Amino acid sequence: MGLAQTQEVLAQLYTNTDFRERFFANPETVGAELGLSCDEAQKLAQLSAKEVNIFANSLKWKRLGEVRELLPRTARALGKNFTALFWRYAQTHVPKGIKKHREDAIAFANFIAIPEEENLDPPWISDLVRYEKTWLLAYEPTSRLIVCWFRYPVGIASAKEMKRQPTIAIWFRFSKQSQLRHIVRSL
Amino acid sequence: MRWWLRWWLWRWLWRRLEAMLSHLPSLGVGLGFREPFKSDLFLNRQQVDFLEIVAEHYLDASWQKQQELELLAAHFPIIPHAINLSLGSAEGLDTDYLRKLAVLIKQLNPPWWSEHICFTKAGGVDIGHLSPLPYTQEAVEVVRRNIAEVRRWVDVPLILENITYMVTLPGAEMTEAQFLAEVVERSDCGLLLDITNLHTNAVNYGYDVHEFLQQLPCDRIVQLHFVGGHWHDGVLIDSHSQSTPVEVWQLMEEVVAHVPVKGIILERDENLPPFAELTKELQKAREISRSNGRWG
Repeated sequence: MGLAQTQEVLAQLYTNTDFRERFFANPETVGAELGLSCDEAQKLAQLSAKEVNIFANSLKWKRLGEVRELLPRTARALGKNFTALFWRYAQTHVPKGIKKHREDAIAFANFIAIPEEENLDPPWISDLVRYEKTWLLAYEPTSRLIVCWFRYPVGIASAKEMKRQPTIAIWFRFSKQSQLRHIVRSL
Repeated sequence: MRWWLRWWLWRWLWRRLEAMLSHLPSLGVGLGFREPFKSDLFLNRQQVDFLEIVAEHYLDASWQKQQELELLAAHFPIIPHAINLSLGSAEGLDTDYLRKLAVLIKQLNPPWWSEHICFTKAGGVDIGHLSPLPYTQEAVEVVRRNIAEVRRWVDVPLILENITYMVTLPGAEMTEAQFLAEVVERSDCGLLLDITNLHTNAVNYGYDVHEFLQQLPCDRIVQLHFVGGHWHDGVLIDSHSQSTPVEVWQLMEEVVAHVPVKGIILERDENLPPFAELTKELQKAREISRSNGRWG
């Protein structure tokens, strides 16, 4: 087995919980699925499952820390639920690219902003996460104008005292090089 | 190739590298730049000789980040430190990333730049962290080949950093120190010795740092990194979150006594203390360097 194939398997082991569990439960079968010979699978199975799990968990905690910083109000409002939701989300999504933390936060925001399905408490949480996600989108220099409607005054009120009130938020910049501006008004 | 031609070529490359590394300027003691201490940095700029920036923060940067970089570059020598080029990827390099990195390095025109001896991407997956390579000749060859590709884009000297790891890979053909030595020698690079990483791996895997250092090509060490980590479930974590422990200071003393390092960087990321604590650590590193006659 060449280094390229070893690295592909390692990348999956480090980032994919389901694959990791299946591999360490039955390395030869999972190895065969990947086109590895019995010897090659046995060689990879010499990896310590404990070490790989520790590393994989540290990667997820690192991602969580970055995403928490990018969605601070959502993280505060959701408390422990934020972490629980992130673990569920991280099972299925691995970000990539130069701005992967931002991409991760936006993808996670999309994951949690489905209030009816998730039954999230408090009810304004999906608006708050959408508001913070829009900030991340607006920071992109190519983004010139974004207008969003919210059911709650997410850009004005603190999380504790949010009452239903239609709110409009606008992000804009006059040119790529000018400062991002932001206006929020409740109606 | 005939043996004498190979020998001559090797000697020529070796002399060229020696000349290149010895001509690098001494930068002194500096900080890994992080945005939260930007204003403190300018209030205390006499105490910081140079900065290291995380290159990735300035690739595809907004106008504001570009301005920040220009401001930093106007006041400090800057070393770009890349983290996601994935020099150990057997599938080759991401040329889009490399092109952007080359533009940044050209813009800053530093005396050297740095990356890690590791891989971070494979099979379309961005692992999100520095991952260890197997200590094999094949991995050495992959890094050498990738660095040859990098040199087509960037002609500034490259120095390579040793990483910490939580996983040991099977099939090693050499020790970690021998692997690092092979990589820097075969790829004709300098070494960025992270003494905290060295200490962390030595603690977690129970090896002797002094023996490790003896196996390294010390004449290739250009720069040091130092900081402190934290303990979690009996494992020392390289979290850049604590003040520098006494063992790392001792290691710095030992290395600086033997090696004419050109620069030392404190890399603090988490649990940021008051800036005065950082400058106190910089001062201590400066005293160690001065007491060993490294710079004025």
